[in-house]
Amino acid sequence: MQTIAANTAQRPTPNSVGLLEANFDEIYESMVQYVWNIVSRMGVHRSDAEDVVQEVFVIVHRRLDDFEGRAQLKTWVFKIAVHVVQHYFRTHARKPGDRATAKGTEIHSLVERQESGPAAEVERRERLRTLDRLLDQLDEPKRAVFVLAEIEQLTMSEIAEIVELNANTVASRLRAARQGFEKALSRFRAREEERKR
Amino acid sequence: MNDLSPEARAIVEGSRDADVLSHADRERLKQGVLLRLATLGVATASTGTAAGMSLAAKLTLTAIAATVLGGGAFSVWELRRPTPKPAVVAQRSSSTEATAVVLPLPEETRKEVLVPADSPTADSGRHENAKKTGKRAQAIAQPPSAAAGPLDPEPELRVLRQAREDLRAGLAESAYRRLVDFDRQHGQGVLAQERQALTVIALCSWRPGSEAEARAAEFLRGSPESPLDERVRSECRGSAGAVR
Repeated sequence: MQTIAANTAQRPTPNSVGLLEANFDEIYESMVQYVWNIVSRMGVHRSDAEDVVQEVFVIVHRRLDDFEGRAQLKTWVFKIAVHVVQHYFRTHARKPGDRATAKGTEIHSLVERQESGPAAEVERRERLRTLDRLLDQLDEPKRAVFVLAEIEQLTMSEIAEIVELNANTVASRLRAARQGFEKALSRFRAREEERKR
Repeated sequence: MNDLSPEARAIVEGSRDADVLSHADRERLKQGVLLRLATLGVATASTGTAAGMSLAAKLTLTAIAATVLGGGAFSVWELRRPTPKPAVVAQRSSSTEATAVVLPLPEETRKEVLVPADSPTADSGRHENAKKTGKRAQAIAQPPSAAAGPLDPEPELRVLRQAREDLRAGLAESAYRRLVDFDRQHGQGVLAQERQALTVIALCSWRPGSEAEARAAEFLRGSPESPLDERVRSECRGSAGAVR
C-alpha cells in the first residue's frame, strides 16, 4: 500500500481524484469481506449490517487522504469498522445479542433446520447461527476482541491499536472472552442435549 | 494464555468462510457507498444525468424503502433523493474533446452516464459535429429530467410508508389492499421488490395460513439474495411454518 500512502499525503485535488478513486476501489475490493465479517460477527443486526458496512467505507473514502501508511491498511480499516459498530450500538440502543433474543429466533432456527434446500447451505447457516449465538453471550468489548483475535486472527498489538487499549488489557480481555465463549458453548450443548431427549 | 477448546476452535474455524459475500453482494454494497459519497458531495463528481439519476434515485430510495420496511435504520442512511447535480465535472483540455472526471459508479451506471447526448442513439445527425465541438460533457452535465418519469419512485415510497403505518396500527388488511391496489394500477416499479415483500408481510399478518405461506415461499424463491428475505421469514414465521 505504498502507493496509497504516497498518493494520500495531501488533500486530493481534482487531478488526484482519479488516483484516490483507484485506491479506494483497491481498498474496497480487498477489505469488504473483512469489514462484513467484523460487522456481522460483532453483532450488528442483520437488517442493518449492509448500512453499517457502507458507512465504514464512506468514512474510509473520506479519510483516505489522512491515511499515512504508518498503520497497516487492514488495521486502519478495522479501526474505523470497530468505531462505526460501537457508534451503531450507542445510537440504536441495540446490543450484541439482540439478534438471538429477537422474537422467534429459536423457532426460526428450528424451521430452517427442516428446510429442504441444499444441505451445504443449511449447514453453512447453522454454523454461522451457532457462532453468533455463542458470541451473543459476550459483552461488546469482549466480543470485539474475540472477533479480532479468533476470527480475524490479528495479533495482540494490532488489536490493541484498533481498540485503543494497551496489549496487556487486550490479552486479559481476550482471556475473559475465551472463557465466556467456552461457557456459552457448554450451555449451548447442554440445551441441545436436553432438546434431544 | 488460555486457548480455546478443540470444540470451540472448530466452531470458529468452521464458520470463518461461511459468510462469504457474493459478487452481487459486493456490488450492491459498493453502489450504496458510492451513492452516499455522491450524496455527500464527495470528490469532484456526483450522480445526475437523466439515466444516472434514475439509478441513483433508485438506490437511494431503495435504502429509504428498506427503512420504511425495516423500521429503525442507521442514521446516516436517512438520505433524501440526491439533489440533481452534474453527472461529471468536465475538465476542458486544450484538445477539442472534453475529458471528464467520473466517480467510479457501477459499470451499469457508468455506461448510462457516459452515453453522450450526441451519440447515434440520441441524434445521429449531430453526432460528428457535436463530438468535434466538445459538447459531450456539456450534454452529460444537463440536469436530470427523468425523476418524474416512469421510474419516479415517489408514489411507491408513499404507498410503502402508508402500508407500514397501517401495519403498525394493526391494520394489516388495509396495508395489504393498499399494496395490491397499487400493484394493479402501477405494476412494476423501482421498488417492486420492496412492495412485494411488504405485501407478503401484510398478508401473513392479516390472514396467516396456506396462501400467506405460499406467497412468502414464492417471494423467497424469487428473491433469494434479497436483503428483505430475513424480514419476510421473520414476519411470516408464525403464520407459515413451512416458510423457508
